[in-house]
Amino acid sequence: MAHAYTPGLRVAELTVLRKVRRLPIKGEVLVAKGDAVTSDTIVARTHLPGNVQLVNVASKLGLPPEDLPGVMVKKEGDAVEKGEPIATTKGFFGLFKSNVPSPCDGSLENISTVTGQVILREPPTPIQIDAYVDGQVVEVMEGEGVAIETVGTFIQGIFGVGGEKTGDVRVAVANAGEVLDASKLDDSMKGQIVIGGSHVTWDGLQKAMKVGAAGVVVGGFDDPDLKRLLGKDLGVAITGHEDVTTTLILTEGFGEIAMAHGTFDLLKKREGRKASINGATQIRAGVIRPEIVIPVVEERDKLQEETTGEATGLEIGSSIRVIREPYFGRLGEVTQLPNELQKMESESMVRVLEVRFEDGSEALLPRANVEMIEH
Amino acid sequence: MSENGKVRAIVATDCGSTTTKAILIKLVDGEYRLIVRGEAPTTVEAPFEDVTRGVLNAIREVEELSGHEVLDGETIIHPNDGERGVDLYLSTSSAGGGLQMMVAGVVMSMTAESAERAALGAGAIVMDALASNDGRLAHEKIERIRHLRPDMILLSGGIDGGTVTHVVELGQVISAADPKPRLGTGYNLPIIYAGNVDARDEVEKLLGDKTALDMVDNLRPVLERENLGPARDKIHDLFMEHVMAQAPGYNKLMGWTDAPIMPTPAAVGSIIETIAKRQDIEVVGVDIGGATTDVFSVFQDTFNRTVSANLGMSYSVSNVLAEAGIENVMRWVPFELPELEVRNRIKNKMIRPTTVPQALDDLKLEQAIAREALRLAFEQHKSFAVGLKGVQQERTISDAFSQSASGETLVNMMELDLLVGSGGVLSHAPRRQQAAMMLIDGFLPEGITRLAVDSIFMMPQLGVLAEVHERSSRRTA
Repeated sequence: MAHAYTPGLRVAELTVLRKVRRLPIKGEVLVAKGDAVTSDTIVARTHLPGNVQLVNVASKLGLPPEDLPGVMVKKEGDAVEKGEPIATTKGFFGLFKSNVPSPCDGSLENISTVTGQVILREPPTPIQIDAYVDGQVVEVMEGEGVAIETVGTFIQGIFGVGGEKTGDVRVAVANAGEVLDASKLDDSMKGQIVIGGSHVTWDGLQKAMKVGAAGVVVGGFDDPDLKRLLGKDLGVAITGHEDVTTTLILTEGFGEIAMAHGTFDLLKKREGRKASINGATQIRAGVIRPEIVIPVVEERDKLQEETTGEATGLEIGSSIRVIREPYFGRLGEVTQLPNELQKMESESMVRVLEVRFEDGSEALLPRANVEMIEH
Repeated sequence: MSENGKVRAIVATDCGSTTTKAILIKLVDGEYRLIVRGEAPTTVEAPFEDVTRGVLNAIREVEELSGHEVLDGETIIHPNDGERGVDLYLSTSSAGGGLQMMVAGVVMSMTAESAERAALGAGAIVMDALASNDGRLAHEKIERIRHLRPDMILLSGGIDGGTVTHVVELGQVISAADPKPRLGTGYNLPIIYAGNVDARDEVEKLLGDKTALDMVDNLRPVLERENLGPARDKIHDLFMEHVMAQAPGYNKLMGWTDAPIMPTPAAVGSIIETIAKRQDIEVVGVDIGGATTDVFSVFQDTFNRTVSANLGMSYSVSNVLAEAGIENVMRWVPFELPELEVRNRIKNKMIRPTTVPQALDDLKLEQAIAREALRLAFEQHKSFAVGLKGVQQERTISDAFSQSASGETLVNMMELDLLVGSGGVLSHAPRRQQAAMMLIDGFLPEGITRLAVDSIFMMPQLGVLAEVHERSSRRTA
């Protein structure tokens, strides 16, 4: 039996999900194992060392660095206030004194007689992390963070921009093939995760940001619009830290591509429920794909043992989606998996499969250009 | 091995960042012959996260196409009994999507930039350059390190004998970030310190316990001079020995092979060097992959290699467009295609890196991008070929403003005898003249130059085979 590995993005109606929430540096965990949490529950916090400000006191006063100790009015470890002098020259018979004021509140950390620099550290910055998803704390990593478990719908996108957001799912289009444009967005979508169909226009995305939508989930988006959004051509796909108010998640790719029916129907089914989304994407080994998590904890008892495509691979009868031109986005069923290499229109010799599309038409496709649809 | 000690069947695999290739070589009528090749997507990503899955799939394809049984379940049948199994199993690997680094220096335009040059010269993608004066708050830098999950960090800063505080400050940021490697969890992240020697003790205190810290000579020992060689060499060493070996499933694969797994660029380099030496000619070789493009050259008996880690045909394809510009890509496309369509197609290739062109216009577009990737990679090679050699690695302050080392490069296109191309887009070009045109347009040879293409895409495997069983490698080549 021909065995082919074909990666597919995960779309699960009901599954158990585990999310690890870690502090950037050691701190304090605020919840205990077994606690129920919501997405905005603060689960851990810490204080990051304050920002450092460098002041070249020697150069400001026109002195050689080694003379610094003689003019410093604040010592290492002293607290300072913004505008307060940290160094003063003796002046000329007490006159014509020059001061160097502190540029910030904080403490004086270091005086260097080599460079003439003084290092001031601003007060520590409190940092806290939330639970991101509604669920239960199942593990506490002392001083570092927690693992949250939830049961619900899990959908992976193919590409995203923007970080973690939560909001209620709101479907703004009638079907998976409809374009999401500005006319379909309004103020009632503030704080919501707006679901579009095949595409979001530039104006549509701008409107979503204007009305304060937390996220937009849609089949496709145009690359020139991505360039406008980011202010640069994206070379290597590492995203998630963009300064955007609305997180964007593409489920299919670039261009106008109808959202997979399974994905759309699932999102429609979950309309009105709270979702947690993250646009962070890294396309390389150790890949990270954007995600949509919709907790449905009350359906826990409906959980069945999950099956994935891993065990079987592509087989005759497998449901597939085409992921490259010229049939990009079309859905079908595998009818043949011939062993022999076959010639494509491009004259490339590749391993192929035969597919019957939903409209009954058939085509020969490179195996590399399809993905299995996993539910 | 068979009873008379002869190697009768060999399987060799190359685990690329996108595709895993397998070849079967057999002894037929006293000669070693390539019987068949197979390939399958590389499986370092979730849900598999095990490079051996792709290896097994590629070998299964070889089995199906050749009818020669190699696997018993998930075990390679060893040795060959005349009917089934193989006597040698070898592998190369570049899985992992290239080398992704962060660099840090005290002043953005000085040591941070020098560190970036060192990392780029070693073939890394520089994900970010941190500096004391980059305008970001310490916690933003910390978040950035944690978010990007680099393979390695190069920390520099300060001239020898100068101030230690700023570079120590950067050490504190890295220490606070407690960065975890992106592949595997059982090892510490490699960090190379190439800054002020006076700060070594402090840096050791901060990072010695929680990272795999290595110290090399300061890459900016005095303000007026760069010394990039030691840092660059260390990056190469650590990537080969440390990072790549953490690719998921790699340890399992190491248990299967009859010889150590060789990094793909090293294997290709070994074949190129062998060709140049044997035939006493000047050679340029290129291996254009999904994430990286490696260029090799032998001029005046000197071997040079560069890895353009951000130029490739899948993971890095979008970066080729960003670096070359759309006009440069479209000048090679012999039909009208709207910019929107071009951009969307290239981005779709980036986010679904294992797909192949089915339609002719798709193929033409990929070959256009390949020309630009080859051109840019060769430009990098020409300027870095000099930098890889001894004293010439050291730059003066006037060089600090220019990446090029024009006039000093060893690459002489008039003297070039042989240009060898390898990698999916060249090897799989349906017509040989398409590969030839890509090489000519990308490299612009000037004199009399023979062109060769690794048409069955097996240079890496032959490279490793040459180390173990030279006769079969030579005969098959």
